[in-house]
Amino acid sequence: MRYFKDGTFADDPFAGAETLSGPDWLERRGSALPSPLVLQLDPGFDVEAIRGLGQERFGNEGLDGVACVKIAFPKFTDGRGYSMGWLLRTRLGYAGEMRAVGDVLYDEMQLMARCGFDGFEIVDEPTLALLRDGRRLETIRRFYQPGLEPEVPAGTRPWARRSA
Amino acid sequence: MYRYDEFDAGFVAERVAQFTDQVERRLAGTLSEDQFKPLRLMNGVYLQLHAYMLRVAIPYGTLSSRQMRCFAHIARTYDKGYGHFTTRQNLQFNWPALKDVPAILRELAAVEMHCIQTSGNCIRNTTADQFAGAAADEIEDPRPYAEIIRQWSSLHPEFSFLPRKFKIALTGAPSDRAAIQVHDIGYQVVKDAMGEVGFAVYVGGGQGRTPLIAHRIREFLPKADLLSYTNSILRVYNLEGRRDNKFKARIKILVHEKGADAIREAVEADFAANHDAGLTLPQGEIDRITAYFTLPDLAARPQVSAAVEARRTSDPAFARFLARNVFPHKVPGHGVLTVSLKPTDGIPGDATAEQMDHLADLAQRYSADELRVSHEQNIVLPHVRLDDLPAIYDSLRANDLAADNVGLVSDIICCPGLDYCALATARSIPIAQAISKRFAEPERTAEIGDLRVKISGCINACGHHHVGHIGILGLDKAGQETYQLTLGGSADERCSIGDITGRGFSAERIVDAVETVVDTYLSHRTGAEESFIDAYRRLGMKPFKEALYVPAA
Repeated sequence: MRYFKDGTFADDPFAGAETLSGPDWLERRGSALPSPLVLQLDPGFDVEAIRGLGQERFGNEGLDGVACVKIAFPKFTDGRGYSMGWLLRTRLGYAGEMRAVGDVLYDEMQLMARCGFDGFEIVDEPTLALLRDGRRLETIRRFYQPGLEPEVPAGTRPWARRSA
Repeated sequence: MYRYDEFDAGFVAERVAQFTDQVERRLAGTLSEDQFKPLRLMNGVYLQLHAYMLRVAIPYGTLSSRQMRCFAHIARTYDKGYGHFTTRQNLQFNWPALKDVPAILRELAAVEMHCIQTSGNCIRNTTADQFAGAAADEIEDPRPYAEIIRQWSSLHPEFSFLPRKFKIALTGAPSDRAAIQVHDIGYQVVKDAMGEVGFAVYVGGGQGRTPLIAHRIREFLPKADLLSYTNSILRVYNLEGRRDNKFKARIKILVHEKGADAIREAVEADFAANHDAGLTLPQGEIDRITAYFTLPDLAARPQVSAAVEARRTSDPAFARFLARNVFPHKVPGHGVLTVSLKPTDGIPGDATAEQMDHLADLAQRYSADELRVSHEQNIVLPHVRLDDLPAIYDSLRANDLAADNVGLVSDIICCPGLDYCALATARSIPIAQAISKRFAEPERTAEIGDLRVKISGCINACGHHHVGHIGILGLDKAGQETYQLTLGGSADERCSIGDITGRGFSAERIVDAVETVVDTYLSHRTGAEESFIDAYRRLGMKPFKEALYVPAA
């Protein structure tokens, strides 16, 4: 497994850190939590429920204090993680690292990035080989919907964007 | 018609380059078939029984003569000289080599076409009424909105790996010619009490092994909110749609299991919270896109054409053609002409390269350069002068395209079936051919009147059998092709799912069974004005069942 962030292979700053699953985190809230706090959310975890928790327990956003959220893609064809990531970034205002883990493949990485993912744990050897050869994620530079990568409006269509 | 600007052309070029790279990596072996499969499907490349199949999107069924000529060219150059128009307003090439696909995509891109999302578990080609923008009964042309949805849904980062495929259809008229109630989302243009135009929203319709009619979850959606609301429906589906069982993964199952009220609540909650920039449509931008679809400059002409009337009285075949194939146009003195791709003994929806070229010529000369594809797998010349109909008819006759059977028993929707498809359990094309031969006598067919026959070669129901007035489903029963018969289905605004008559029929007997159903209808109807579907709704299954399953003497 290699860790890829900001367009390059890097050392995982959270290597060795205890990672809490979504349910474990919910259960242990209010008691001592590991620091740095790293979560792993599996598909099916209701990220919108965090907002309610935040307001009720923390008075603000429920993800304050979380250093890294890993969202699992057990199979690359399970696309729930895209919506989970999008909601974390846009509805919950989560600004920490959001990392895709599991079946992370080159051809999906740009879609993940546009949903707000900024870190990747990669196992697939051909994906690693492409990245080592200098391939980057920006295969498509024109978009028909707003994304969360640095993008600028394109023309008069409010939904159209270009890579910044 | 919509025309690509630099942005659209650049986008398609980027997608072609991306897919070309994906094909190269597949051929080099660094992409496994499992990894490649969703990628190729998202670009319309299927692996069929005998070969790869390439499905080209014809957005909302509208194309120019230049685009039709490109299809003819591709059919000749890369395929076996023909193509197949589908129930989702797409065109399929049945025999391309995988290595040629990038070249075909470049040819298509040169005429502003693509194969993006014609397959796969993503948002598919957005379809619309084939008479859109021309029909006299329309509130507003739905195609500008279909185009906006097409753009927004292309390579959507959040919705490219849905639980299952997702199909959106729009109609601008109260008569539903786009089968919106059997789509994942159906949008119907409506006017509210204040005269404002918006959409009624239908969700959760579909066919396949669990046919369900969509629920109307909103009476009126303002135009400005079309993308935001669609986005919310997709998000609820992406997060909550079932992924444990492929056969229960469509949004119709989610709506069915949770109830339409729960889905409405979830969608409305997401919609209320949705402040995503860029998804609210400014009127100026709606207007800019609508301008591409402006009705061609057709001068009003006399309602009655002397040339047509003269020919009608002297030529009964032309009279039948007029009665079945021509629909009223918005502009007096014009008509919307359907060219049937259902000749006797033909393969429904198939057209040869020569026929495609010929249709392109006719469109250029007589129909403001425009053609349409209908979900019934026919071609439409949307803007013809009535005065030109005799000449067009003669030209169609010369090219084996003058079948006068639109909406009649031989105008059959039919999937490719076991002749092509890897999923099929029985042949469907030979059944359609046999029925068309049995009902080849035009006077008799006209006497029977409106009757929609739809044939699927497996439970996935690509041939829409559930919503056929007469539906036929081909199954494999212990190695024998067996055809189940359903009656009373309908895909229009009075949408209904057909009832199964009883035990199935063999390939040899199914055509007799259809004829028995037709004869039973003829003997029970109150008169020629009572159509088959109306008679079935009055009579119910009983007389048909009695006629079909006569006890052995």
